[in-house]
Amino acid sequence: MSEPILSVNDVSVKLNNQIVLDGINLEIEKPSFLLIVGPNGAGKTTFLKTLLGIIKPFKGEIRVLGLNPFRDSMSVRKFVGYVPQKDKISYETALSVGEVVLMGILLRKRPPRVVSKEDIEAAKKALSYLNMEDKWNCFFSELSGGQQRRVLIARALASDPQLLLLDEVFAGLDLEVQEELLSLLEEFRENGKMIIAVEHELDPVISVADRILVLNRRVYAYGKPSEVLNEEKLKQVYPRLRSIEKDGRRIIILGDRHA
Amino acid sequence: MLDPFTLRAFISVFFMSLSAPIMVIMLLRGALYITPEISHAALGGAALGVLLQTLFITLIDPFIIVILFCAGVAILTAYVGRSGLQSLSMMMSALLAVSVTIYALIRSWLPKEKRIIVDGYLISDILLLSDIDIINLAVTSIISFLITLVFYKEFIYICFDADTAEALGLRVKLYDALLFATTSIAAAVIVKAVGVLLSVALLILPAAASRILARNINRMFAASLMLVLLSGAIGIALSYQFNIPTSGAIAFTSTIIFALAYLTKLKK
Repeated sequence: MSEPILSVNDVSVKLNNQIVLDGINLEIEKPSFLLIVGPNGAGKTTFLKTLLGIIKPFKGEIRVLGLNPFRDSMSVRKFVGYVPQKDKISYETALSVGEVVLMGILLRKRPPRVVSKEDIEAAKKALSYLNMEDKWNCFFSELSGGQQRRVLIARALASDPQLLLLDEVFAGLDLEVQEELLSLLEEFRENGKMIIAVEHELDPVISVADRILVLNRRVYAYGKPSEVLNEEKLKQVYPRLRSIEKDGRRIIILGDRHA
Repeated sequence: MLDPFTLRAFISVFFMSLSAPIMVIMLLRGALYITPEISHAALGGAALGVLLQTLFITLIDPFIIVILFCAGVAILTAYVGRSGLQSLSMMMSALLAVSVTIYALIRSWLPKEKRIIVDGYLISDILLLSDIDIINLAVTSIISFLITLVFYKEFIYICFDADTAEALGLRVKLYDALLFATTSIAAAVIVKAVGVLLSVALLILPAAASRILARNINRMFAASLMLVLLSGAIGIALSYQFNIPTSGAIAFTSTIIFALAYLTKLKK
């Protein structure tokens, strides 16, 4: 059995003296696509930040790619790509698409973080992977929501990470763009990489996820989609959940309004 | 040929303009509104500085205490402000009250000739700056400008996406503290040149006008710098022409330039 790419052992996290994650246990092997779902305030983003070594748990132990994200934070960050929620971006800061993608490379370098020819090539390669190379000189803020999400994924991919952490990248995108992004992420996984995606809704990532983690401060369910996707388990986290049949498909409505 | 007073005023305007780029970064960080509080903290710093100078004779230049005091206030405000807007506004108000109280208390204890120095920080006349003042302005404004240039990428990354910057290993809290400390140095330069009351016109308005006139960040830097130079040059000319206080004329010009920039935006 290979070493797990992610190992979380009895991890508990406090923010402002309140427990936001309580006794989380998890073990994942690669290649894998883990979908984390949960209502608002469930601790999903906190969980991602804990994996990155930004938030330190008061209890438990984490290993990302065999490394301790607090002791070996720089090594972990070298192997991890991160895409934040869209509302964490300042659209007032007018950066070009090229500058945004280079950010993902230059932040891994030491100051003065001089841009090399190789950096530009790597950034352009990541953009071309997402069919966005012609937007290099465009202002990021002037792109559509879907294009912006692609640029942010390109920024995360530019340094060739082993693990990609996505924080609600599908929120607010139309179905067509969601499907395009999903096929790109599937390709990433098929190349032996791992993806952890936090989403508020089960759709659309559910179709490609290998594992689902239902989180609401603690783990309510974890396993293959077929094991986790039953109303009884999901209702513990989403009390207003209901499912409907439409065109022969069962659609789950979580009934939790997104902030 | 310019008289020495006017020449020193022009030189001061040049050094004030070097403070403009860091104000643009504060604007992009969404924290420009803290700068008036930082400039008001200069009053408390000036009173403390002059008191220390009185007690220890000429060992301490009050301007250094002004910079340290402003930096302390700015960093504390930024640190507490991370917990939310309510904490930020509470800390801003409290530190403003503390700074003004320190100023009022110490001022009342100081001998008359020392009070003039402290009051010079409240309303300063750019024509009356001494050679030592010019050297102080030169050193501090060049330091703030160099910090802005050297850490430009880090500051901009924090402005654009602090979460990812932190996720990729940038010490966001440290660079935020550096940003606020550098802003304090820049604010102290402007306070020294035109006084606390008029400083807001040169701290906020050129950066705000540059945001209206330019999109690209480097162009915003250039525009804000040029607007301070323009306000200074026109202000000094107006003060000679109409026999009005020079610092006031510079602040007035800066306000008019901002108003014109804003009107252009409305017309578009």
